[in-house]
Amino acid sequence: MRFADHTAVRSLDLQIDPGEILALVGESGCGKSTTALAILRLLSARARLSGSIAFEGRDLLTLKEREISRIRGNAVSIIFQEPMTSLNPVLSIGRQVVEAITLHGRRSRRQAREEALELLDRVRLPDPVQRFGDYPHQLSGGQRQRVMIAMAVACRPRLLVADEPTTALDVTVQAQILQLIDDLRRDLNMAVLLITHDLGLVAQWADRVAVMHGGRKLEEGSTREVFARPRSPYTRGLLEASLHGGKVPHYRTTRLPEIRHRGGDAFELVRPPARVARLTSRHPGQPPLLRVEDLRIAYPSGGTSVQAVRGVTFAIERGETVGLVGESGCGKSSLSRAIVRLTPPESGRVVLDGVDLLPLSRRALLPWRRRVQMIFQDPYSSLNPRQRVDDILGHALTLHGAGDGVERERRIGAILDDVGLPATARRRYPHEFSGGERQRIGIARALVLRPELVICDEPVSALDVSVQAQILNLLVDLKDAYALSYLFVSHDLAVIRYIADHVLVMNAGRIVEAGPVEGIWQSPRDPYTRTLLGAVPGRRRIPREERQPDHA
Amino acid sequence: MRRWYLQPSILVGGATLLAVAGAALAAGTLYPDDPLDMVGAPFTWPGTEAATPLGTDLMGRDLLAGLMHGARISLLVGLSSAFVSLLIGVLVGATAGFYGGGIDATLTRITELFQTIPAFLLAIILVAILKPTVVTIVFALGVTSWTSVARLVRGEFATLRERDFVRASIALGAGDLHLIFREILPNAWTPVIVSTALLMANAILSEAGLSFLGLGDPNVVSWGSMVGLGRDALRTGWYMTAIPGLAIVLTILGLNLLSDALHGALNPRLRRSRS
Repeated sequence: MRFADHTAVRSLDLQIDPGEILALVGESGCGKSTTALAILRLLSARARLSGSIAFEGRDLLTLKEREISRIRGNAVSIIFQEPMTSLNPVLSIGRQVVEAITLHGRRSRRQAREEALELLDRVRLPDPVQRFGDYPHQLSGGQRQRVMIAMAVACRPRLLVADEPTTALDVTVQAQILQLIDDLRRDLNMAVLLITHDLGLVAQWADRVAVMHGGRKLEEGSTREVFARPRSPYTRGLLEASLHGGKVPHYRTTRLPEIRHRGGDAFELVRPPARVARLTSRHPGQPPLLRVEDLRIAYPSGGTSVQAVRGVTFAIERGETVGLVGESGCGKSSLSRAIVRLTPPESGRVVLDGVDLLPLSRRALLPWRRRVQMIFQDPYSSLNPRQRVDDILGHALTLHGAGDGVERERRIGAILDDVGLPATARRRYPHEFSGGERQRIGIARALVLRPELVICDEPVSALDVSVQAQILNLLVDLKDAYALSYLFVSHDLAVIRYIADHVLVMNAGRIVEAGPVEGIWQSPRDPYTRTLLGAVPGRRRIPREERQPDHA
Repeated sequence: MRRWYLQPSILVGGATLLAVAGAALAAGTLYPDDPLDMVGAPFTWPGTEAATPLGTDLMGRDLLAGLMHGARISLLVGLSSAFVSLLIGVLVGATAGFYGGGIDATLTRITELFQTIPAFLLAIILVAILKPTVVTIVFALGVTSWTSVARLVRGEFATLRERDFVRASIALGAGDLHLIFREILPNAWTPVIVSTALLMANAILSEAGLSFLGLGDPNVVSWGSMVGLGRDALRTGWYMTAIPGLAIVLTILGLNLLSDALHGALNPRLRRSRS
């Protein structure tokens, strides 16, 4: 199967051979999803396509609507990122799989049901007979994606297009889903076009890889070759910035390389000089900056209550970055919100500099709020769209009575400069900025009061790899300049490994392991930590024979 | 990208409303006398007498003068009762959506209570009990039509208060009033403004209905009372009902078009797809 040429995507040539996994890698907006949709002619009618997409000798672009719908879901299938929205919420999963089967071939009802059960068993959905009548909301994210895959492979397609199939899933589930796709590929001798932004996945699963940027293909080659000797500086930047692969840097010794686009296909890698950070070791004598003691958080849920955080105790020393890592729903967000008193905890103590913040009244809390600030995950929802940048920053200063108008103006100017935004940014509204720039505004808002502790709740998770590198570099620089301590919350182990001095591993509301970053990576004691570290893609390329099938 | 104000719906709607507003403003100078005075022979058809271009009704009153003075009442009642319901609705909705919990439950129950009562009947009762003046009509229409605004604002507040920018403001130490009026309300305006145009349309329609039933202010001319009076001569002089009726239809249509256009113009998602 081969195809060529595009418009939002500019003259792209790709070739996928039967039974091969080709990864299409790039950052958001590079045209990789457009390419995926174009193959199945799923782009909106307004899109103009030119070139050809040859599938088994036939040009998909010239086929009639009826002919292409006979190919869709039959010879070529697609799975999407969001298993929640891709399944119909009002139909049972069994019926949806049956439908996928009967759409492209006559079957009796019993036959179709049997085949559907076989498929659900094949994608290793636990207990398919029992779960046949379940509705999508009764399944976990990973199980929903398994059902999607069952539907996609129902007619034994020769090509499976997987558009970010595991981006919405936790790292341990992600590994299982990719294992499943890989197994099916071998069983059915099907080609897979894996579209992803995650280079770790590519390293582990793909045979060949194509790197895209701005609608163009920058390079293509076997995975081994591209990862060992990337030709384009852009690819090299992505590889280093994504923090995957052999030697993992640490913020105290290295900065991450930043990719600068020089127009066209020209890129340059800039690595800011590493300043040797003042290393503060844990002093047992000195009281820590923050101490959290036996914190418990519960949410009411239909009469009973759900325990989100079940007794957590830890401390953050001055000048230290504590990384908090865990999968979705483990309680890490509840914990970080409770520290800045956004969520009321059930019991426990949050002691900042010797004072317990939890019993304080709103008024009494105000001076303490200045000392603990938060950076949020989503740069699109964390800034008020109706306020200009200087309103956003000025509000923080006014609340804490910081100086007169002139002094406030000066501090706004200074902080914008520190986070690397131009002085003209202050008169503009959030929607005029890119995601990375917005995150800089969010950082400026947190730092304009000169806090001592900053809670970073997944601050780089919504950003592209190259932007992530810039923001991480910025956080490291600011930490030095402002003498900050961070609580850095993330689900991404690679980021935690780079940025943290001390790591807390959280699972089901408890901290299961805590220790210095190197210790945890080299000799994890807790079984959960070991599972988590083992599931990180791209840690090592596991030979195919050694991979064991596993169950979600 | 096309300018948002160049859409046909906003041009037609806006022009209609401007014409109505112009008529209301010019009524005092063009027809300084009471429009309830008799100025010509009754049953003068439109276009037959130069002094009364739209004819006279069955009491010999000038229809054009009545129409222009009626525009004043319609706009006055529409604007002020929309304002009253906006005030109550935003207050109730914002409080319920922002605080949630028991406050939300209580306020939502009260809103539902008002929703179960047929608004027009309640307005009739209120006007019948109180004196039928413009002020009581505005009051009656205002207190019966705030429920939709309240529900709308409550929904917006409930989702917006979970957004990170509100959390960030709380983490900075902002008070409730700042959160409600500076952070959340500016982001909740769009649907409220859109529904205000519809609220106005409803109020104008209800006022016309009340006057038609003879429950309007007897001392002022209203489109509704003109239709009501003309009804007696529907077979011999249908223009007496048709002309004020047409004025009502056009005004309501103008407001609906405007509401539609505002929805498109103020909703950034729709704006982008049209560009």
